[in-house]
Amino acid sequence: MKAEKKIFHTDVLVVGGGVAGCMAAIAAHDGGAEVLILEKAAVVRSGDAGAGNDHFLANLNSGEEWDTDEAFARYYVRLSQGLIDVDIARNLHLRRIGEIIERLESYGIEMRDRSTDTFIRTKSFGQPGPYYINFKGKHLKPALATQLRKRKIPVINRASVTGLICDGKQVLGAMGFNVRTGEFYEARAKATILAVGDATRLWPNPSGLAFNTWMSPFNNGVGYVTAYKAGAELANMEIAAVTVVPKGFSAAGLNAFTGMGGYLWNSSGERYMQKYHPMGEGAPRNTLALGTFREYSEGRGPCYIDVRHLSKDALSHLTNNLLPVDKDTLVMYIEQKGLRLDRDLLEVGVSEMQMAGFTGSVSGIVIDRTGKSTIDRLYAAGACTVPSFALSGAFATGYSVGEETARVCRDSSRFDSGCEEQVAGEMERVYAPYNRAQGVNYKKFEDRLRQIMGDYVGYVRNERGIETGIGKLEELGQRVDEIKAENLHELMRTLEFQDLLLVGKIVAKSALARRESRMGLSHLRADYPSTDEGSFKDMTIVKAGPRGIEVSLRPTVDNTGRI
Amino acid sequence: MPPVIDINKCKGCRKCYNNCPGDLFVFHPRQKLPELRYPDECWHCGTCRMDCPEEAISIVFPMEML
Repeated sequence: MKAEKKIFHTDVLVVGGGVAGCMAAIAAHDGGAEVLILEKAAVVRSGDAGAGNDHFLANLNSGEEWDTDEAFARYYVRLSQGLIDVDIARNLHLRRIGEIIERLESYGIEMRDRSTDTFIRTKSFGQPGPYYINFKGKHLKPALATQLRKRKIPVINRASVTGLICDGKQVLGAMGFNVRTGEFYEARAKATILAVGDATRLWPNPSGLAFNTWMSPFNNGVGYVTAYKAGAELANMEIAAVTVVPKGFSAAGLNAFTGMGGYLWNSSGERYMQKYHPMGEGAPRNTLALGTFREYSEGRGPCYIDVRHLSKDALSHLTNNLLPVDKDTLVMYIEQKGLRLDRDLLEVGVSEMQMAGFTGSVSGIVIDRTGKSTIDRLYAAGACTVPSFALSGAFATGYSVGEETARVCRDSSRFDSGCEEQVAGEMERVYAPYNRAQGVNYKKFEDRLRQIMGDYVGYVRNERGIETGIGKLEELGQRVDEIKAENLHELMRTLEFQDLLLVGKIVAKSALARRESRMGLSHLRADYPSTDEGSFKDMTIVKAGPRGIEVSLRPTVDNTGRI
Repeated sequence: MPPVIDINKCKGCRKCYNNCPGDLFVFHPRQKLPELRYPDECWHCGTCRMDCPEEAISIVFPMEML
């Protein structure tokens, strides 16, 4: 096909219209900047929170010791094991939580219980107090889309960004194509914000269904890849996310079950988490996943979640207000399994691995206190950054970074031309799988990618295995020109696969460099089974170098005392 | 086949086609009907079900998940 090209100029280009992207666009617009959002799906329902979310992580300074900014920062550091700079989190996220909650309420999102006008708060995942506000977030994305419409912020839906325009020193915008019309986009901006979420579909799924992922399967790591290719740094990419999910359905909802006081049983009728953590089922997520993994691998599965002991009111809150909001279809799933939570146990298992911007996540694009990446004029927010901290982090970092870019644009009048050859080259690359006369479907390649990642860079890793995996990923990479996309939808998936393959290589190289084990199954090295707080209280930093992916270690800055 | 469309209830408003985060539906303008073209790529997020004004969509989980 011969694609038409459309060129845009704007102050702030927001790539990805999930929660972080929408908030960034709102803040940049309100700060006086001209804004454009390029969104691969449709802003009304895109991103990890597209179909809703029921819990918002927050401290509220209610007077309790655990509810202060300091206590919350300490929790942040403890959960991320010091592998982030909490000062960045403080500036972009922590100090803004109260203001963000008020803002969401002004958007019509019900953060408080209507009958009592108070916040319903629950505690899980090792929190010192009930940090999760249970809220009515089923339609939070439509509410944000309304705010974009009110401000007349231009949004191009179905615009899949594939690359950044970069002159080697700074980012001048982004390129992509429309997955429905095939149009090519060249968007030039004074500042570009990557808000594209995490990377899923990179490891085998226990159900055998690749898109049955915990976080959105449509997030393919394009932020990591485009930032890396532009020369920006990524951190801790070996540390994946693993959680506990209903057996067969990688649905969100664990925090609701454990936050309401659910028990985890093994097949011997033992509440097994008490062996692994003093807080039992209230342990951090990665400990829950490791404990459940051990039970299965040592022959004590199946494991179950049990909420039969909850009061009628608590069970009703769980099944009416929490589960169907965090994952719209989870209650239907339980019904289709023929189960009733007041009567039956729900079987659980360990989820697939993924790169996810969940609470405590330490992997992603390196940003500073303003949200800027290590490349000029490139910013990042939400799940693709370090630190990110889930929904609450996406709202706050998105808003903070949006404000910052508006401020930066006020002092800059430049729309750089240049890099025309790069744009022409990207156009060639993007449509190549579609224009190819024949070839194989992307699925075959993506299945092979997952197989390699599962076999060699999976739940349990070692040096020989990771090196073997890197070799096989290289071999797979040499064959990508064999893929043929029959239509634009397949073209989108083919390009997603190419990004995932590079993320896989980055993960593998980083996993090789971290010669210790950390955060349960997130990075478990059989050849280095202990956590090494001496040599490895460090971030792994990935950067594109002359010899390809270069990994180094960088000591983290302990800023806890400054808060 | 996760989302199942009741074509007797569907009025062809395109909400499922427009809102699906995975671009999994196609829309047939002549028949004014959506079709789930890529069932294997479903996240089971429930967007199509929630946003359908006619309540014409139900989610049926495949047997591998049950």
